[in-house]
Amino acid sequence: MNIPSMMAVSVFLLTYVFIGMERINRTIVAMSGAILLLILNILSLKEAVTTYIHWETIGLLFGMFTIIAVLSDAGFFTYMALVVAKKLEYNPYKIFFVFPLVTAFLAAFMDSITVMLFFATLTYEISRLLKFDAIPVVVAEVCLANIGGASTLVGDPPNVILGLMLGFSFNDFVIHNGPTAVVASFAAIGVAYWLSRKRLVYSKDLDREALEAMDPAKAIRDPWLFKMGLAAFGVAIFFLVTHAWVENRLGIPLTAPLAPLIPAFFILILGGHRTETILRKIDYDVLLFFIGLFIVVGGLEKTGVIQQMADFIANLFRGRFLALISTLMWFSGVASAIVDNVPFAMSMGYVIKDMVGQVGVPALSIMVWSVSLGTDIGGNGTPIGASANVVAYASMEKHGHRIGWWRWMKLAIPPTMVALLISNLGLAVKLWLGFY
Amino acid sequence: MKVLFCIDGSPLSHRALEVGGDLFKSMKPQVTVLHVVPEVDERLRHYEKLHEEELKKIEKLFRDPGPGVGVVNQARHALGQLGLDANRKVRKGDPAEEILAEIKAGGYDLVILGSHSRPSLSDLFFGSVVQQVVEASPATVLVVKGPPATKK
Repeated sequence: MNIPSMMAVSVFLLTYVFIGMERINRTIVAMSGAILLLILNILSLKEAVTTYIHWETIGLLFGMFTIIAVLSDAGFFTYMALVVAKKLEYNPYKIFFVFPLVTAFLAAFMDSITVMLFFATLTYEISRLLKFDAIPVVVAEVCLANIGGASTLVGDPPNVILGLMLGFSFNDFVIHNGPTAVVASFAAIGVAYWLSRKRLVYSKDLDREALEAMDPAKAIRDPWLFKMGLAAFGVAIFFLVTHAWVENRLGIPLTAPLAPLIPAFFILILGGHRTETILRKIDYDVLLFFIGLFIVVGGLEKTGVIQQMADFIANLFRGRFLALISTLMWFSGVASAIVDNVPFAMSMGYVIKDMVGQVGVPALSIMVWSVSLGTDIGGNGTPIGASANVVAYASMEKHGHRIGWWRWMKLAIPPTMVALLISNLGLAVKLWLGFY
Repeated sequence: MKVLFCIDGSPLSHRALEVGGDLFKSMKPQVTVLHVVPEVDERLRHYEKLHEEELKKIEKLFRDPGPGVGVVNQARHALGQLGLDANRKVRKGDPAEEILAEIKAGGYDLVILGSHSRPSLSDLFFGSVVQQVVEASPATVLVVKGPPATKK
């Protein structure tokens, strides 16, 4: 290993360690790592900006964040939770099953952090009135949000990174990861329910007055914004589904990032006085975090470290496709439970890209599905495995429900293991059928 | 006698209320229940700030009195069933530091809290709240342990 490679690896590891320690804001850590690489002349600023920062990913995230900011500001998440709770007649058993499935569905199309910020808060509030233990429900919601997020390109940041870096569309994710994620979601909620079945107590001593006050219509803070947010969301999904067809057949360059960006900018243009508020609610920290990490991981790619890793893995598993994709999935799963899954997905994106074309290595697509399923689902295992977990965990603690690492792992690891086993089985079937 | 119950909303802190309340109810002590709302994680604080108005709307809609108030109200109710009337206090910050500050400010004779049988990962590195309180408290501390594990 030459000196630039060693410097790139050192900066990458230091960045990883400081992100994991959570003593310094992770965006500042990622940007510091990027600046260090530029100062050390591992990368030039021009290379970083034009080659390694993946602007398509940043654009798609910016568009989705804008639409989500509109929906959350309009009261969408509260409205959704109240409508579902009312339909379920405020029955805690039904809530345990259905709320996590709702979070899985929402997280398939939206950023799971915002979904869990609201659903953890709303589940706590509903549990306070219905007098049931909110912790198993919130942990199940997080698990299902992460599993549901695996099913689409926009469901989880690792999918956005892998999909756009390696050229896979929204429909590719829905077709190949979608069925696995749906089966895994139902199996995981079954296991989560079985684990907590004895703790669910249906109290008859309910706060009726407070329940009656929970009119879903009251949750909508701005009806115009609510309708516009839903319309923009629908248009973004429609564009994501049809963009490849529009590009190929009609010759219009409607790329994936433009799918959410076009409706997002329509709202910003039409929003009037609301535009400033919407712009303030976009998560710029995450965008900067991604920019910094793209440069840090770019340092590994440029200095040839990732190529060496790719060669090593390819040699280790040459010709043994099932062993390779299973190892990629489980390794991604375990690693994501321990370390931040964003830099991990970026690095793995380059690793599998560099492996393609070598003798005895399976197609890129099946390796993408392996890494994506492992990274998205494995993050459930610990309270720090994904940002959605951190937010839900801290939100419950703030409300006086300290979950603790042990209880989290007891509740989250069994459904996660079942979901990963189903994913592994799904990948094996795909490999056997040659459908990837 | 001035008694301070430190609670965190967990089943074990509820057990500390039952055990401590039962032991000292005949003495009719002056009781305070304290809950420390922990410093919110930086990432949660960031997202809460992004969606501040919407989260406030949820609190209003559900008539939530605010973090920690529900926990001390429940504790007060539990002690009330044992015939003890308790003052309620909510502090925000590092649990061990805030409990010690309250002990010093309130001039308590006895502090009662529950001890988790299994430490969390951060406890292994930084010491548990109970350890820190026991070591630095000027008042006597009664630590209520969890019920012994039952063999199946």
